[in-house]
Amino acid sequence: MKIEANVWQKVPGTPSVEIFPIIPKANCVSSNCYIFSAPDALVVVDPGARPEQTRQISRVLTDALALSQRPILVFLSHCHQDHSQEAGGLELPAGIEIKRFAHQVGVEAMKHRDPNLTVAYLYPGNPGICTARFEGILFPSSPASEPRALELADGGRIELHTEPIAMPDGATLQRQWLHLGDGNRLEIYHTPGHSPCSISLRVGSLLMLGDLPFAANPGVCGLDGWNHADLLQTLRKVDWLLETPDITVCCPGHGYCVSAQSMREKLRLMEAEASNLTDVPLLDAERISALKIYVDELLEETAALFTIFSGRLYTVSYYLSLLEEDSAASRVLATLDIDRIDSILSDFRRIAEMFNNSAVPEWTVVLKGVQVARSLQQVLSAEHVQQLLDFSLVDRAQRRLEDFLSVVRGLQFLQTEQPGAVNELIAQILVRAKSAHLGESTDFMKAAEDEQSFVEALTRRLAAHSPLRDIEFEFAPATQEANANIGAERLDDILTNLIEGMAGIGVKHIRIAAGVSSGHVEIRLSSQERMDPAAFGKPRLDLYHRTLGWLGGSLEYSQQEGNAEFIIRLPALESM
Amino acid sequence: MKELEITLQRSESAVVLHAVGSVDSNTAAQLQEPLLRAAEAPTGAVELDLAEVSYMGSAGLRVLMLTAKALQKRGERLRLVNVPLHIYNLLNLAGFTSFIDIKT
Repeated sequence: MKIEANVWQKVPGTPSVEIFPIIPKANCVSSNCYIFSAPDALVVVDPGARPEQTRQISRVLTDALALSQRPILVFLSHCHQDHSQEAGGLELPAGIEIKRFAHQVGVEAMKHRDPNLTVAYLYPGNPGICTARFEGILFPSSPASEPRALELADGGRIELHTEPIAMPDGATLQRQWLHLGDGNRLEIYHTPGHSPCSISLRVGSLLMLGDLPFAANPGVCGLDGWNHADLLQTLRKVDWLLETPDITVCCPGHGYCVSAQSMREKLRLMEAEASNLTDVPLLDAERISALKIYVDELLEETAALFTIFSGRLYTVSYYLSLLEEDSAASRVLATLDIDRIDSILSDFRRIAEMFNNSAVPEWTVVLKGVQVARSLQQVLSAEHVQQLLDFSLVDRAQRRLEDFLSVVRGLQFLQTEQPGAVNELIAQILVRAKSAHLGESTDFMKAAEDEQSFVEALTRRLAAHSPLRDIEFEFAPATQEANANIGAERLDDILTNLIEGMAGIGVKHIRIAAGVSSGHVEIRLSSQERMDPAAFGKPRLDLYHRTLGWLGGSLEYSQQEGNAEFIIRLPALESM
Repeated sequence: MKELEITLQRSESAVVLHAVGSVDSNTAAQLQEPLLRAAEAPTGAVELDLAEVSYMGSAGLRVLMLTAKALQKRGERLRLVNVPLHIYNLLNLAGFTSFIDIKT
């Protein structure tokens, strides 16, 4: 069943409950809100944090109250600012009673204005933490054996029943529930991991999971209160819940509702991903600020790499057109969805600029960076892209994006690689540079016998254009074994990018010298021609410096009379 | 987002366009229209001054390629002048220097 936004519809699996979902464009500033109309109560799950959303909720509730007066029950899936900030902001007709419910830990956090557990620290300008009174304390540390009752002003009562579920594997799923009238009920499960106060709520066949589906995402895992062990347990419990045919629809805290089956698949994938997240560092304000700088650098690097990709395709298409191979020219341009990539990068640039004008929080930029990196990874993984484009360039872009996602998660990506044997590595780069335009000569000649094969071979040959082919290299290898304590692939990426950048500004002769001194491997890329580092873009050089710095290395640029050079220093390995 | 502004100077033998701002997917159309109009005219050299362009993405490169194609039909080449080094670097790596005259 499809759940539509901004319209009342029947809740599947209930005798008489209706739902009105409010689903804004997914962002980290404000959550979805789900409003339920039941005979005995109107229920609001996660009011969110945007005043305009609060006004909409108030209007929807007021209209529903006009049909039948009932108390309003407000629930928080967890106490994070984007879900809770407006919990006290609803404007309702006089005499309407509101009772608010949240997990005890969340209630305490809001009561003590805790900027960490509410993640208020992620938002600029000290946003107000919800100060409204929460009468309904869910899953208190000393659970009541009897149903807990909240008295209503009209003499009615809301009874909160505690009834844990014993799961087949021996674990216990903490559950509470309350009547909504006419045989309908609201069930609440304690599902910590994203936050200790995270709960999931069920009405009929519909399960609201809050932010559980995003809890392993880069930029989300590691937030204050995030807990790896709790998350894995919760994922197993929710998987078990979704195994029963009773739940058919899952509604997340951000984005659209999906079928229980597709949510189950998503959560299983997430469980596999989450199992590696054992040592995730706290994603505090300081780390987010550092990540934001990294995002800026990544933006420049990926924009440059993708501009080179698309530019090469345009060049190939230009020459194919000159050769009157217009359909081949169009096919080349269809290889990569250039417009989509450009639009993704332009949007990202806009968000980054909005941040610089203090219009959006740093965290938004980091999360947007994650989203962009994932979209670009998808584009690059297409087989036909890898066949046509310079494989080394595609590989470098892929690694850069993967590194970014790992770093946002707090993982140590560089230690997973083999150390770099510097002499061999540089020799390989030089072989690659020189072979780029020589490859496939035989294939090319063979292909001439068939018209279509010829056009395809011609296209590949044009696409293989390497700016390094006209460079004259001089290589002075280290005289002793030079093994750097840095992944060979990342070192290859940085060296290749620098060499390409030098070629890009017209340097024709590059001298590469490797050496070992006082525990460091040193690689010098020099030219007697003038090089302006501005041509590389400062953020890109900063990114290489940062990547090297993570492993105790550095990147320097020096320009002395008649000689310009980049100096890469890396910690040396004693022996391989 | 920094918008793009295009001004145009016309002489008897050439059209010179000055661009100020970013050329990306949101702004490239503003450059494409006057640049292609100049390239599709029967005569006259076409020159684009990029001195004040801070960023050029692939949408900008597409406009340059289309203009170069239009000019090639009448045996002319597009001229880019005052190209910032970081943009020159990308154009060169993308192979554009082989069919467009580019000066930093």
